[in-house]
Amino acid sequence: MNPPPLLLTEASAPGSAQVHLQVRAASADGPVLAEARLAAAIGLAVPRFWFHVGCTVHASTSLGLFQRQRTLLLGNDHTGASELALQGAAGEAAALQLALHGALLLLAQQRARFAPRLLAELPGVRDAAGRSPFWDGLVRHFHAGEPADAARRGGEHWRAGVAALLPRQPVYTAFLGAEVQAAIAQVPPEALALRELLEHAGLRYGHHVCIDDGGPVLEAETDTVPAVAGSRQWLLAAPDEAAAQGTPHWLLAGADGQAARALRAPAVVHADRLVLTPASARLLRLAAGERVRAWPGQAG
Amino acid sequence: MPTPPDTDYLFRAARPDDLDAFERIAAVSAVGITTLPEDRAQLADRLARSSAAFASNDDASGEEIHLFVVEDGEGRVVGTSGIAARAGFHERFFSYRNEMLVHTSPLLGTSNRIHTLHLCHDLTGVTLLTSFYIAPEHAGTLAPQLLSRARLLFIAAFAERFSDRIAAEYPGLADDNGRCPFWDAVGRRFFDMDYPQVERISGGRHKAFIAELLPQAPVYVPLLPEQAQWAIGQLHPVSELPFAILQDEGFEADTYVDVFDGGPVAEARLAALRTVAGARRCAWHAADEPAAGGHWQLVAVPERGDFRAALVRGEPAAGTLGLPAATAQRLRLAADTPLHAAPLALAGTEPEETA
Repeated sequence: MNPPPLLLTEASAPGSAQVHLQVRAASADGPVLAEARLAAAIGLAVPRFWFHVGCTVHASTSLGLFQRQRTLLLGNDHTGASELALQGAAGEAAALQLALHGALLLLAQQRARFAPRLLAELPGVRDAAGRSPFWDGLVRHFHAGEPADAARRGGEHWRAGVAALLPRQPVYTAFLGAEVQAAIAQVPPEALALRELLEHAGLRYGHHVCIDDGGPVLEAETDTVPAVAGSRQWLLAAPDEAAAQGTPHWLLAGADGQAARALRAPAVVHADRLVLTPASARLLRLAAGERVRAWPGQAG
Repeated sequence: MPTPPDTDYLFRAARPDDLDAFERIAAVSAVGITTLPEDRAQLADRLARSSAAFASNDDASGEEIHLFVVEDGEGRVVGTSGIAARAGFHERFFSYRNEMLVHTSPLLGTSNRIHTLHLCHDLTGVTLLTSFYIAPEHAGTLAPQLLSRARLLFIAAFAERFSDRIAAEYPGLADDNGRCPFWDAVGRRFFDMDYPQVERISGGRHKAFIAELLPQAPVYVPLLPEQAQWAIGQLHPVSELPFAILQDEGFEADTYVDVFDGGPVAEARLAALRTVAGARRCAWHAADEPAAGGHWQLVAVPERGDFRAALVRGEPAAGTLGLPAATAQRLRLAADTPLHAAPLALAGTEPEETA
């Protein structure tokens, strides 16, 4: 017997601008295994800050010198972008993947609501004691305190409060300790799977890092993300256990209606309609003649 | 060797035949006067340029250097000093300017003062005091006072040839092996060289080359190691005496530091300097050697091609200063030679002190 399928459901707070998606085992009202949050446009009410990781070349032919210098420049480069935040319980790679792909299908389905640019922030490295070398080696010199204190005092937008204290001019990373430099745009081992997942989904490091821990910001042009570009709406044929069973898995998401639902399940195209198993249709709460957004997935 | 009485020292323009003395001094003053090259040919060139500057009747261009010496009663050169008419004439003149920024975060309810260093050319065109050296055995006399301050009378007397802003660079902290905490924390990150190596190549025209490769963005001082932070504006002990003389004159060193070693840059408005403010034209008359204990007076013969100065006790009265025969002879005075005189503003004395 296969394990019960994973089901993504929407848990957005009523009236919230942010989409909140949760993944659980479909069979029971069990624990949340992974979550995705999708914001349509960030930094428009309270500014958001990132460091741009730049490069300056110091060269002198007369001194025989050629050096590449990395710089950090504080800015609001991603203002107005859409943001995806993913969280998953350890070892729940499939749930995390469903949360990610479900969010991307929802984004594709409501494309006009979201921005041309999509980003996802990843956590920065921590030492064994949970301390961020980036915070300790850079931020702390401008804000003497712990991130947790700043978060407690500043609330939801505490990073903007920290940014107000940070250097406004480029910081040459040569002035920072080796452990700080090594932490720039790196993720801790436990976030490597998440990073790979996002990269596989089409997001890339674009030389921006988070201001508090130096974690990388992955970004993409929304319309080039495979799950956005490659998914489309289908009309549902009547569910058919025999026709759909054993065919390749698609990512399926309810196209219309109130709350988003998504899962990965077998599907097959027949007469320009998509055929699902009755169980899948039931989980998606869709009937024949209704629309589903579906993505056959990436090659490889 | 006992030092001569302070009245025996003579300040005068350097001459090409002072080359041996300059070479000797450049060799012993390894740290501190990077403006004196150790190379004899280069020194000869400096002296030639200086002589030309003293003799020239052309309008000043700004590239002039004027070198001076102090000789003891026997005519031996025991110290040197100089003036560069305009900083940044041949190449860009770099300094770090100290700035304080206050960052506030209303959201977190905190604010923070941040010390930054900004690479700048603010001192371009400023007249620089250079090349100060006094033989150690004369450091405890008034010779260094004469050597440093008589330059200011020269500048004041020929003010059209100089800037009204005067500055002097002083060496920053470094240990005996040449390890320089400021360099190690700042410059070294951009040039993988030890400080002595940099000093060697920066003696010539390379100083601006190197400075051009420093970060153009401000240096955020809190990011530097503590030792380097502490070294900013700190004076190398070798220059305590000349630095103290300029401080007594009214120079301040809060704004600028050297881009390489973080040493202080003293600067002032010419007119505000105590020697310049206190300078008066006067005539002279023969007088007996005055009693010890009177106030010291700098006396200069304001001839541009043959500037000379000495120290005497006494004060001008009714526009004339009494000078003993020995001083008049040393300064080669004729009966009607006009003088400039200024009270010697020693530490702890008031500039306008009157008897």
